[in-house]
Amino acid sequence: MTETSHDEAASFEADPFEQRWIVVSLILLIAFMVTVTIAGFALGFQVPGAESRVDPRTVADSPPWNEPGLRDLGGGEYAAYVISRQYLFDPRTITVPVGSSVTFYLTSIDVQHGFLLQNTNVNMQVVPGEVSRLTVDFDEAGEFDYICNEFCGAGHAAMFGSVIVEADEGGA
Amino acid sequence: MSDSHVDPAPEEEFVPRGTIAVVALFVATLVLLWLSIYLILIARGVTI
Amino acid sequence: MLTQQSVYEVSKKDRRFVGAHLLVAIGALSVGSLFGPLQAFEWSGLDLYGLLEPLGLGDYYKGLTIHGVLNALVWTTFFITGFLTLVMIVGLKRPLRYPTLNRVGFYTMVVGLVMAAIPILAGAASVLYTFYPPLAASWAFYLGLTLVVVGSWIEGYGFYLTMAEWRRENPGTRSPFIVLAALITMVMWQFAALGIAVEILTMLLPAALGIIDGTDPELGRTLFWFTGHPLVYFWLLPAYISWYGMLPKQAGGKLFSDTLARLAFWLFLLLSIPVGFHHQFADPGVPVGWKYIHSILTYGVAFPSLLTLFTVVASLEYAARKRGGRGLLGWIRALPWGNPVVSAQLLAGILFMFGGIGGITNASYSVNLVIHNTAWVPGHFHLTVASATTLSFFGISYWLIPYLTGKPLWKPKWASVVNWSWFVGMMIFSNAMHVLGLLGAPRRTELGKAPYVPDEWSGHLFRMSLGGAILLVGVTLFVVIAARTAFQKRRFAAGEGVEFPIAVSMRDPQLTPLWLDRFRPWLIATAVLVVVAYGPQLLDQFSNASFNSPPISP
Repeated sequence: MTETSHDEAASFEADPFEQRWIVVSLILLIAFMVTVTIAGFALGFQVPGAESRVDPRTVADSPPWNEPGLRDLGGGEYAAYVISRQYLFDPRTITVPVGSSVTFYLTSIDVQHGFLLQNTNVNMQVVPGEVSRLTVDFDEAGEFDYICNEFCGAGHAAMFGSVIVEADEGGA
Repeated sequence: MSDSHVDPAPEEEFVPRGTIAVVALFVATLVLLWLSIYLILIARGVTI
Repeated sequence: MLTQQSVYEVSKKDRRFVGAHLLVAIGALSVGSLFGPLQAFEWSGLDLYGLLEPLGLGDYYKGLTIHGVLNALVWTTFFITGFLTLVMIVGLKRPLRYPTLNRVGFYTMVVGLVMAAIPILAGAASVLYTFYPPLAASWAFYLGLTLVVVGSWIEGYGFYLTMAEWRRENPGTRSPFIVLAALITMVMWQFAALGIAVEILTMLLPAALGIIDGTDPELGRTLFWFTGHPLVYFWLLPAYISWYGMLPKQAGGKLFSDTLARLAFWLFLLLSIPVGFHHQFADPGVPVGWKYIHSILTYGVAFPSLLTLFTVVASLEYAARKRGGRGLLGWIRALPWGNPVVSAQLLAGILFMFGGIGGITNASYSVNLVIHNTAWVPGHFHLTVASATTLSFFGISYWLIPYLTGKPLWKPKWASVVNWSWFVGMMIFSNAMHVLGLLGAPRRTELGKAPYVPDEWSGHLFRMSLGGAILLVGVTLFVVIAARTAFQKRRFAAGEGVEFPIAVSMRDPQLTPLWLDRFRPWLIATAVLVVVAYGPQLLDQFSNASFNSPPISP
């Protein structure tokens, strides 16, 4: 470490205990890194990525955004297109059967919003001009609120909706 | 300031035992709290 | 105590100049802090905004903007530039090379502050301190913030020119640690602020003036967070300067390792900036690969903080053992807890340990989905900027104001009350906020008006507002102590006084290797790393930018 030093007496010297702490802290950080890498890239706990771009001024005029709501893709899979605007989500409620896997697509036609689906990992920034996407598997029946968690203006606190997961009624 | 009147050799052998204890406590707390949040992530299910 | 050779006497003019920074800083803190508890009370069901309506301050989000801008931006920036000015002068034992330049910088900041304050108070800039487009504020808000940033840059230029002069006068001498650290802090800030500068000058200001029809909000976020995370280190590093370079002396010991202290600061310069996407994990429009790379680099910037933990605690342990401290942990009691300068920094450090744990959690890639934009996040940064930074600045003020004014600290025992109430209040507040975040409570929301709040939050909401009330007591008392100290008639008697605390290193700084005292290699490495970690994605977002999101008033 001293080759760049012009001063013979000067050297990089750390206390032996401190050197050990450097090693321990590096191991610790690497352990965290490995854990989150596996979760994100092998186990499916992934963050949103670059999905697609839209024009916030006209996005609501053409499919799929001209008819926000649920699409049944078959096999228990659904796509939900949700438009965010001051101060509501369209649609306000989404109803799916228990056991379904729902991929949420969100965009905004005005300012930035947030989409936090309670008790799930679906937590996305909703940005005009962009589409945000994450998926959730509903294994239990119940009602899950989705709330706006980015400040979007005076009426922000009122902005929310719900997913109703219906129990299996023995059909099919 | 008084850069020049420092002893060039480390003075009386000072072993930072207490520091090691504090740092160990910190690491234990860090790992425990971090894992608890990580487990919340796992419990809330996959996203793709 | 006064055996040090040639204590440098700071001129009265320079003392007044540094004092002017503190006056603005503490003035901003005293106003901005009033809104914090109001928000906390509103969340727990006690809405006091009606009482402020006659003053034009009845709007929750206007108050939240004031709280964020005054506390996180103004209190910090003015305190830091003032404190670092004194560090430069005393550390180098010479006056500023071009004092007029630094004064131009200061008054530019003041003009910017006034310019931004007018639209905020008029309700024309209730966009919070992140001002995400396309939420629109008055042009004066953006221009005012720009001037505050530019003013702080100008003060930084004054530091560099002073340092260059000192190098000419002292060839071959290692720069004093606190001076090197102050310069690194400023250089890092100037580098980092480029993101916000580009965002404001190319999008926000032109859009506010009607020159362009709209902005690209995702590009705005990327540029904002280029600056946003290193901004946090701009707040934190001055506290580190005190923890490394002053606290060991104040506690009765020495700096454990001058070499590692310098290394930590260089690593902060290198790694503070290329980490911004860890604030955008939940964003669309940024590929997961770039988010992942920044997640790893964020772990990298945690490393110098872990180094700091060891070095600072070891310096304190050395001091405590010299004072007769014994036992594996019992030595902690032997630290001079009765000295409010010391206890403020010790308590700030303890709070920051929890802040660091939360920070590593935030940086942990998809783990961030659990807490993104929830109450956890303000819970976290109240442990960093509002504790590590703010409580340390309280501690620094207790010697700095007497040092600048020649007047003794007014009621030191009450200063201890400030420290402990801040510590206890913040523990309660931030713990409740972290828990609320895990339960799904959103941040920056007028929660008292939200229709979706479940009963299970209410106990934590109450704890949170209780913490807020205790914090209000603490900060009010701090402002009173600062004002009474500065404006009292009593002066130090002859022979009394406060000296500028500079910790001596256990090892001669002259033995620190030269590569830890030269800017060029570190600046080049920083630039290269930023280009590698940000270049491709920034280029992509710029080349695909669509300025089609029209400004919308909140």
